[in-house]
This record gives sequence, structure tokens and C-alpha cells, in this order.
Amino acid sequence: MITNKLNYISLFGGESDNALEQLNSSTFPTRKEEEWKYAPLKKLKKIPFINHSEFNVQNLNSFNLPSTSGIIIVLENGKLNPNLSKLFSLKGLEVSFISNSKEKNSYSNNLKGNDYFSLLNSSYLTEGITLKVSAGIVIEETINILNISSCDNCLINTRLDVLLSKNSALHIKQYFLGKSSTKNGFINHINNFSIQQNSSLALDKFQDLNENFNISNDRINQDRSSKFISNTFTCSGLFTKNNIVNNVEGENCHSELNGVFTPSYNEHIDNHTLINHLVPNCQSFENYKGIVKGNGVGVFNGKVVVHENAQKIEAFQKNNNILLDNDAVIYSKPELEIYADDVKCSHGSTTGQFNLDSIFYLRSRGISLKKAKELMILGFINEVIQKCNDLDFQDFIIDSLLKN
Amino acid sequence: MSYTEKELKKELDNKSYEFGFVTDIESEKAPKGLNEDIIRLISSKKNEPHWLLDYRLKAFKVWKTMKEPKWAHVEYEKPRFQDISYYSAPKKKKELKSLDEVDPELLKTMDKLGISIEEQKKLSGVAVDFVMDSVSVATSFKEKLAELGIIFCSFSEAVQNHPDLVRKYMGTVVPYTDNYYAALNSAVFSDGSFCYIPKGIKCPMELSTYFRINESGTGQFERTLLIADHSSYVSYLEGCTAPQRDENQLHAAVVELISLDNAEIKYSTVQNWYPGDEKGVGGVYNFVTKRGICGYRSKISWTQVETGSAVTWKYPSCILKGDYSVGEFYSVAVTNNFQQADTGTKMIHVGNNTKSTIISKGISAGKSQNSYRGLVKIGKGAQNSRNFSQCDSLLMTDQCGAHTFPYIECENPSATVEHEATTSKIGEDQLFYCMQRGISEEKAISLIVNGYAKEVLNKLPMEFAVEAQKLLEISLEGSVG
Repeated sequence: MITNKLNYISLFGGESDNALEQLNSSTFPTRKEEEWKYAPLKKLKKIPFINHSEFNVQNLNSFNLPSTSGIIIVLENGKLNPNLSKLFSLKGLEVSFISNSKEKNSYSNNLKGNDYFSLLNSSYLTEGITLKVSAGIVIEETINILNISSCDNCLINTRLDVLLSKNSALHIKQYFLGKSSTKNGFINHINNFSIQQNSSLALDKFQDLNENFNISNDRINQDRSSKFISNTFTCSGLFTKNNIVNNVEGENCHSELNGVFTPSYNEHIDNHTLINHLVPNCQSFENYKGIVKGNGVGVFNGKVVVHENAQKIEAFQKNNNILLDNDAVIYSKPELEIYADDVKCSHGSTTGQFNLDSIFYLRSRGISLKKAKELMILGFINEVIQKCNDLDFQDFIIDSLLKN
Repeated sequence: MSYTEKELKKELDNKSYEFGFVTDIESEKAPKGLNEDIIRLISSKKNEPHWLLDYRLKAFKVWKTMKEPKWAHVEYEKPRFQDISYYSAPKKKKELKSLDEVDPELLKTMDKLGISIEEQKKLSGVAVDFVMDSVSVATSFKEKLAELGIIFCSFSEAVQNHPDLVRKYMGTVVPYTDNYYAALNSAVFSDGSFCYIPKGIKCPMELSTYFRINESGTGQFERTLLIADHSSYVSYLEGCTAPQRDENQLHAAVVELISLDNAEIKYSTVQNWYPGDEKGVGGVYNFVTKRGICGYRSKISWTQVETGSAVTWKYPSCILKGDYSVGEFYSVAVTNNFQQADTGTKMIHVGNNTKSTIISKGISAGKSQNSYRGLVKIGKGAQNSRNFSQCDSLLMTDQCGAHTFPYIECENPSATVEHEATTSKIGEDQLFYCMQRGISEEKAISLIVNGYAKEVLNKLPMEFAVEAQKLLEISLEGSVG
């Protein structure tokens, strides 16, 4: 069956025939494909994946998470862990789980994307969460969604669907965590967001996967005058790929994709973004910062497409990288594809190391080398960190990033 | 009444390709098609040594196993390789001693192009190696250059007279296994230019070659090999015009530059092949592999002005192998009507303290697509390397496209790599500023575009700078909507 592509034996019941059929006819991506040019998938291919549903995490203290208020949904190895979750009802918010849904099949037949990993997800979905916000409702509480890998060689296919009706707002914090002793777990996730008129969605994504894999395919559709802000912080992970596709389908939209990624020893962190400007009068901003340590590999591949007749678009794309060690590697590919003329689009990419003069300046004022470097890193990523409104979360991010 | 934009547009729509004419010179042609026999025929016609024939056959063998690349951001009808005649040479006339003996038809062609050999000889001090179809017909200033030990001749002459040099360097920068079109060129190349600058010599004049596709149905497979020996300097100019044709013509050239220790090569191109008509019919396919390799403290500088061709696929590259070597790339690419260009550069940093600069200016008009595709690779061992890239695009109409695909691969932490790109149309405030000072819209646009491209045009040698500015104006007039 699919063993020739990904070594996965155990199946979750109720898989989608439609997706499975397509999965069987699709091929495992290779580095010859542009999208996977810098991504080494060999490691992933070698692992004999299993399906596991026991809970190994007793409490969340070991992850040192920031103080969390609001709804907490913990998926451990893809299954809802009721002991760690905190669910309560909020006016105007509907939370549902696919495992409780009667229309499992029709749900996952609703395919999004036809790349190998999306199809794998649709075919063998472990759990899916749907959040629906009613029109005119602003949810003040933060929705925390934790996706934890705590079992070796476990394949976890999860999905989050968010529907924001007109004039609503929602803030989601999404954590992808790997238990420190767990190896080779693989969280294959899909985010599917639909943002209707005048609505606003903020997503803070935090990834600290240690020696686990994570591929996250995010698809966002934005309707008129909507706002989407995504901040992605990737601390660690054997192999992490964030693939964000943002389709801006209504006028006067605001889209922001920010990120900090810090690949360290033997790690590979890949950030792919695609912003599709299909209509006029929109703005998009991208800002990604990479700090690469040891023999880590960081990838930024951002693309902005301005389609025909999508005039008056402003799109800015920025990627800055710092290489800390001799074997550190960065691949940066900021792309612009523009088919309309009345636009302002630009991108910039820099790669370098610490400015020795600045380090000297700090040291001459009695600051230790370690502290000086920390300060420099802080200054470097501050621009992105500031995008999060929650101060506790900011501190947490800074601690986690500096820890590496 | 003033001259309106509409009138200008009308005028330009009717304006046909300025240099589109066909010279009527009898020429000898190989039968259409490509197989080993044709390659043997080309080789024997040119009286080539055995090793070169072997090289061609090896390349052909490799080519047969290769597939046409599809990654470029261009769409075109695949050339029918079996429908091309791979050899055509003007019929041999007796050895020429002075210009009077040159075919009058040929002289006329040159006049139409705006270059007269006599004038060039006397006034500008430029030696012209004139490639008419595939065989060099007239070469001037050769003796003067020979005094300094500089070898500047056609590729086939070099094969006959300097086989050791050709054999030593040919294929060292662009091997025949490099890519589809380089392999094809290596198998069937007809002629081209060869230049060798000996140690410590600064070439006293700008060397130039005019390429012209002339014979209907012959693809042009040029091969240029330029070697600058230790501590030498040369500035080389290449310019192209082609006659108007309805069928697509294929141009797959290979240019190899070898800059040895402390040497400097400046390579400038003005490319104005036939771009096809307003409906996108015809035009030249320009699939070129250009690459140079730098030794210790040496420098290669590419400057190009690309205005022609229906489809361009061209990446002049530098391999910065020696420590302290420098690579530069300055480009202006203009596309109009249905032209498609996918052009850029590759800077491959291998040595320590290597530096590269990329300035690319794209201008798209009409319904054209203009892409910049570049690679900056800092190798593991390239300590303290430095790169700066800037690629700007200017959009003239709402139906054209401008794209940027930069690849930045940095594997050394001591390197500093910067890349920036912008895409926009001509600022209305800039236009307004000029126009309220009494400058017509047309002139204002020309002014702004020239200013935009100035950084690159300034790098061109005098002779080319004038022509390039003229070309830029011709290519863009009336294209603003």
C-alpha cells in the first residue's frame, strides 16, 4: 500500500476513500520538486510509523508554558486528552470534534490541497477540531490548542478548521510540542481558516518539537475587509515545515505573516509562504527572522503573487538571518510574481553574523559575551516578538528561543 | 495640437523591426536534421582535429539522454530540432586582403546596421570580428593585436592555429554535460570567437563581435572562449541584431570566460534579436549559457542590455574560485508585446574574501513577462564573502508581468549576503513633476526610464552606451498605458 512511500502500518478507522485513492496515486515528494528542494525527507521515510492512543503526559508543567487563560484543548498523539484540557462554553463560539461527528466521511472528503501530506492527513485523520464563531461576536478569551507528540514513531494527523462569520474576532494560540524524551513522532497538521467580511483572526503558533517531525499546511481564505495575523515561532524540531497559503479574496484586506525560526544541531526548519492577491486594494506584510546554530538548516521561501487586475496592492516581504556557527546553513528565496502594474511590492533578504563592533560596544560596558550576544539576538527578533499582544507569551517566546 | 500618446502608440504599432532585413548571400547549407553524420559533416567541413570531433560526438550522446528544461517562467513552442539545418556557411570566396574585396552585399548589411568597417577601423579603434551566419568573414585589426601577442580570431581559426589553447580551456567552465542547450551547442557549434590575452597585457582596444542570424532556418550555435592570462585585461563587446522572420529561430550559444590570477574581463552585451511582431508571431529563442571562472584576485564583470528575442533564457554566471576574486552582473532587460525573458545570474562563491554585486533592472511593457532568476551561493569554505543584490522591476501596463525568483544559499557564517527587490510602476508624481515643467509625457517617461537604468548603462563602454539608450527608447516608446 503506502508502505513504499511512508512507512505507516496502522490505520485509523473511517478513512476517506476519496483522499486515499488520490494518496495512492500521488508520489512522495523528492528534492527535485521546487517546493521540496531544500527539504531532506529521507529521515522521515525511514521511520516505521505507528498509531498510538495512550496518554503519557500527566501534566503540562514540563513544557514551561506561559500562564494560560481561556479554553485549552490538548491533543496528545492526536487524541483529545480530557484531563489536561479545559473546555467551557462561550457565547457565540461552537467547538466540535470530528471524532464525535456523524459525518466523518463527508468531512474528510472535503479535501483541501492535493499535495502528498495533505492527502495523507485527509486519508488517515486522527482528530479534527472545528471552531465556529457567530456573526458579530468578538471572543475575548484566547483559544489554546496544544498538539503534543509523546510517543515514539507516532504518526499524528490532525486538523483545525476555523470559520469566522461576519464582524467577528478570534485569537488562537497553537502549540506544537514534542515531549523531550520522545523521538520521531510526526505531527502532520492542517489549518483551514475561513475569515469572512470584517472579521479578524490572530494566530500565534509556537513549535518546540525536540526530536519530532512537524509538517503544518495552513490555508487561509480572507473575505472583504478582513484581517489575518500569523506569528510563527519555531524553536526546535528535527524537521519542521510550515506551509502557509493565504488567499486574499476580498478587497481591503490586511494580512501579516511573521516568524522567528531557530534551527539548531541536526535540525531543519522550513518556512514556505504564499500570499495570493486575487483582488485589488489589499496589503500584506511578511517578516521572518532566522537564527541558525550548529549544523542546523533554515529555509525561508516566501512568495507573493499579485494576479491580473489586482491593482493597488502593497506587499512587503522581509527575511533576515543570522548564522552563528560554521556549519550553519540558510536558504532564502523571497519571490515576487506580479501581473498587475499599479502595485508597490518589495522584498529584502539579508544573511550575516553578529556585528563585532556592536558586541565590542556592549562588552566595553562590562556586559559578558554571552549576555551581549543575547542582547543582540533580542534586538534582532524584537520586531517580530512585539507583534504578540500578550506580554506573558512574549517572555515565554524569548525564554524559549534563547534557551536554544 | 500636441502629439498625443495615442498617436504615438498607433505609430509604434505600425513600426516594424528596424533591423529586419535579409541579406542575399549565397550560402552552403547542410541538410536539415541532427544525427551523428551531420556532426561528422560539420566537423569535416571545418577540417577539425580528431579530438574535437570526439568531443562533439560525446556531447551529442549526452544530449540525447537529456530532457528540455521546463523550470523557467516562459512558455513557448518547443523547437523542432530535426527541422533545423545545423550548418550554413557563406560560399568561400578567395582570401581577402582589403575591404574592397568583401562581398558588396555584406558591406551593405553592415551599413544598414550602422557600422562601417572603415569607420570602425579608423575612428573608434574597435576591431570587429564579423560573424555572418556561422563563418567569420572579415576580421580587422588583427595584426595590431598580434603585435601584443593577443589572439583574436574566429573559433574555427583558433582550432586550426592554436589547438593547444582551445583544447586546454574549452569546456572547462561549461562542460558539455552542463545543460540541455549547452550539450546541443557542444555537439553542433558552428563557429564563434576566440580570444586570448597573454600575461600582463592590457588589451588596448575594446574587442567586439557582431552576431547575425542570417540564413532562414539555420539555428545559430555560437561558441565563445575568452582567456585572460595572468594580470591581463580585456573589454569585450557583443551585440546582436537579426532579420525579421515568421518562424522561430533558435539561438543556443555558449560563452566561456577564463580569468586567471589578477586578470580582469569585462564582457558587455547588447542583445536585440528579433522579438516577434505585435501579435507575438515569430521571434528568436535565445537560450544561452554564459559562465566565467575567476582565479586569485581576478575579476569578471558582465553587463547586458536585453531588448530583443521572443524568449530569453540566459544567466551569465561567475564562479569565484580564487581568493579575493570579484564578480559583477549589471543587467537591463526590456520586454514588450509578447516577449518573455527569464534572465539573471549565478554567483558561486568558492574562494575566501570573494565579492559579488548584482544589479538587475527589469522593464516590462505590453503583454510581456519579465523574470529575474538568480542564485547566490556561498560555499562552506568561502570565508568573509560578500554579496549585494538589487533587482528592481518597472511595470508599464496592466497586462504585463514582472517576477523575481532569487535563490540565496549561504553555508558560511562569516559571509554577508544582501538582497533587495522592488516592483512598481512609474510614479505618477514623478511624471507629473516632469510634465508640469513642460516636458512631454513621452519624453518624461524616457527620462525616468533612462534614469532608472542609468546604474547599468553607465557600466557599458561608450560605443554601446549610446546604442543601448537608443534601443531602450525604441523598445519602450508608447508602451505606457
